[in-house]
Amino acid sequence: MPTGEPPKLVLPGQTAPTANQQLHIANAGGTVQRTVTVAPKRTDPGFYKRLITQLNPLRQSTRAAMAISGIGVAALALDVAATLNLGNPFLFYDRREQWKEMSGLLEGTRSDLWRSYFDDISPNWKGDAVEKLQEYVRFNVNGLYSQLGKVSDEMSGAMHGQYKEVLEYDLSVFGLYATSAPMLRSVAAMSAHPVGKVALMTQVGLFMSATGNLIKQFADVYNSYEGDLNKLELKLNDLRGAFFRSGNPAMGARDLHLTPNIEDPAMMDDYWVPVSRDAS
Amino acid sequence: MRHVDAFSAGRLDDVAGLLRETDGWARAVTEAVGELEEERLAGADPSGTVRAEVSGAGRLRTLSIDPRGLRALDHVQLARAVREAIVAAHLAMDERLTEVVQTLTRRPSDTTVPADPLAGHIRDVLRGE
Repeated sequence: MPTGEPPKLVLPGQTAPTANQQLHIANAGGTVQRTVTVAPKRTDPGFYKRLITQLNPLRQSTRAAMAISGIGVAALALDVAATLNLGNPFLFYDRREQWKEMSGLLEGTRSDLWRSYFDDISPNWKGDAVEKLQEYVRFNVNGLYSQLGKVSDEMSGAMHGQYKEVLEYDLSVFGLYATSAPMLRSVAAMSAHPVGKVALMTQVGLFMSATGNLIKQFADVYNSYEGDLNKLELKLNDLRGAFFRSGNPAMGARDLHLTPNIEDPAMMDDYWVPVSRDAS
Repeated sequence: MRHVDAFSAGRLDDVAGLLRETDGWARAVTEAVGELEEERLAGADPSGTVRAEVSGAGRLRTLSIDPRGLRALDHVQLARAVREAIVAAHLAMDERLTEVVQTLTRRPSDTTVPADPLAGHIRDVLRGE
């Protein structure tokens, strides 16, 4: 394996894949061993648009019934709040997948580096480079990558939670409108008669309390996720300490790089001593 | 109702405040409708022979016929007089209902459907922005 040439190292970060590209994984000799295609950007399946398209006519007839009831002012405001809070679950799904991929990529890269050090470098080489690299792999890469991976995992989990809640809320709102709109429409049609008007007022009241409950539940869920995100933010702040001096980006990044001497041909004899030369 | 007005204009505002206001509003409406249901609203035919009383929810509670007026009415006219008395009672109920709604909303009754403040938002979503 040793040829007298220091191995070319492909360090993580130098080959940061951008979306929709191929990632070449090279061995220590610089030859491409396998090619990974980074999944192209996911496309929105259009759930949210379809939801809004189908919800809007139901909203319009519901709004008309609310206005006819004469007491619809608060119900109309709730309609706006409920509709504005509808979210596109795909956004959270997409982020969940992004964080998951990032976590996988981090772990994969960490493992690659770890293995290539212990499989290729430490059994075959002696000298300063081996120590420097070991230090680098153990302290800089392993610890930091694990921390980054952990945060990515939790982010992915949080995004999944949000995705589920947003989807559930969307479907509940749609369900509520889909069941109430026909009833409100027919009661509103009878509201020329005072008895019909009282019935309409009662129905609008029922719709109002159902919508209010939904919004309240969603607000509670939202608040609890705020708490989760806050915890993640604290963890990210901890990570800052690992990457920046005093954890303050304004004070500059910590020096996490390998010494350039490792690739310097003039210092090769000190840094790269093949195990076999010593033995002979 | 500050938050209600903000949301009605399509502005995002304090949701907790909105829920508080709508809760209060729903309670006020239920109470007013409840009180109205307890009321009795009366109406009579033009001759005053038949008198009807309906509850605030429109249910017929009493129907009284003055025997002195009966002599002038045959069975068809009596039926019409009963119908007229009930319609008159319902009209009285309608007036009372309008009054109750006006007291609640503190503004003249208005049943026009306001323009959807989210029309622009929905157009943007459907256009994909």
